[in-house]
Amino acid sequence: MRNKKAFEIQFNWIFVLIAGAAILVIFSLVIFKQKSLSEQSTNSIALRSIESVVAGTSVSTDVSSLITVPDLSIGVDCGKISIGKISKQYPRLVLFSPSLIKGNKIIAQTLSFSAPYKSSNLLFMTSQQIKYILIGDSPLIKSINKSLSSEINKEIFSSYDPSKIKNSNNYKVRFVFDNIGSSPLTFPNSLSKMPDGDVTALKITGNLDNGVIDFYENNAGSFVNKGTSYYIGKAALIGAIYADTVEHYECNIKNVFARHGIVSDVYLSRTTDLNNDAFLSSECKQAYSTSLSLISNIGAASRNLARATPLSQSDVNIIIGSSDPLSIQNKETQKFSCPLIY
Amino acid sequence: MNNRKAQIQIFETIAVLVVFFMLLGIGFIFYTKVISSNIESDTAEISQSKSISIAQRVMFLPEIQCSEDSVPKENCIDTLKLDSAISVINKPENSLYYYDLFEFSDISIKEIYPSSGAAIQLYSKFTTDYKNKFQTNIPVALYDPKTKINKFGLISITTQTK
Repeated sequence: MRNKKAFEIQFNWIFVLIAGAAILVIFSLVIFKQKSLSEQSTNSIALRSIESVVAGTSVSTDVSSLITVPDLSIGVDCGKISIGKISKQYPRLVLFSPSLIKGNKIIAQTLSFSAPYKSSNLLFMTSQQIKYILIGDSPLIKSINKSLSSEINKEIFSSYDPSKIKNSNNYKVRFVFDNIGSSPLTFPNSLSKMPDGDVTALKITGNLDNGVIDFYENNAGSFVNKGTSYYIGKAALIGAIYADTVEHYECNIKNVFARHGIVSDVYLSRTTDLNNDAFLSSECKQAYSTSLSLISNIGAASRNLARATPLSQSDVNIIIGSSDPLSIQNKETQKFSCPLIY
Repeated sequence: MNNRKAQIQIFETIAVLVVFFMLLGIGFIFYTKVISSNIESDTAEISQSKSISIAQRVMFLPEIQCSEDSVPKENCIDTLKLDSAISVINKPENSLYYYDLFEFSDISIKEIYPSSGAAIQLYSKFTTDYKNKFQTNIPVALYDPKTKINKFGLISITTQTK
């Protein structure tokens, strides 16, 4: 009889333990699931707000704004934006930015890309926690300084002295050198403890209209050349400053040229229409007929650049070489009160 | 007698547990209903913002926007550019490019003053499998660079979202 009672009491305890454990497990599972869902939801909301920023700012030209977002790390890749495990593909995205944007303050800026006619707005994004150091006292560096958003954390030095560079605990540092020569860049000692790839440099050889850009990255305490590319116009040059790798720059600039090729087709067709109009003066027609081959060349070179990896210098030169004569023809049409080419 | 009492106690505990889990289940069903209604309202909001961003893209499209020496004019469509853009946008090799920009939508432009003309379709791609449909009408100036005459028009953007 006593044995039976002891068994009953034990069974009660075992039953309570099992039921309690089951309840605890269920609640723990619900809490963990809810936590992960809430994190995903926060990331998704942040991604949507970034998407709205991209959509909203990329349609307006020459604007700069400081946006407050949740304190998250935003990864930007070729045609892809990701926050945590949530990512979204944007096939024609033109967003020049560092590969990682940290912090709750994002700087967004736009500039229009024109060669010589406008075809797209380039969108730039960066974090206030990234330091930009401009080296040089040339008009080009001064113009870059003016063109970069005033919200950016930037410093300007007239000459490069690595000992003057201080480490202010930024997660990324980007140097911009103007026509500094071909000698290897000396790496500042103060930044030697920063992880590889977090200190980058852009060496510009050219002017505000066009030139060659070399991308450098820190590797074991020194700058290593990671690739060379080209730019046409101020907007593309500013894009190269915001993008921290040659791959990211070229991915974006190829999308820009793809669009430039399509817009060139529109201008080619429009100029052909104008050239065939019987009511326009001979001066107008002269300007239109000269422009046709120039627009056609720009269109063909842009389409080639949209496909080429790396960018081909000859196609870049075709666009540069055709843009100036085309803008002269556009001025001619203005002079003779003809409909403008662009 | 004791055996029966213990059995009753066990049944009591089981009954309490059953009621507890039933209440938990009802709570969970209520929670999922609230969450799913939130998701639906979020989806509608996303669709609406997608529709607005497509409309914005159309309004600032360099292919049709009036410009003077590369300086764009807002709310103005160059009719000569429009004629050229229709053929360029509808080229098969550009269809994927414009699908990425406008997705499932219909963009048409119509003159409404001084004369009321037929709508000119710039882009059209529809799907039967959609959840939301939004229409945005924006008044614009239609500028003819040959005659330098401005007309009053309406750009109609219909977007479908899944």
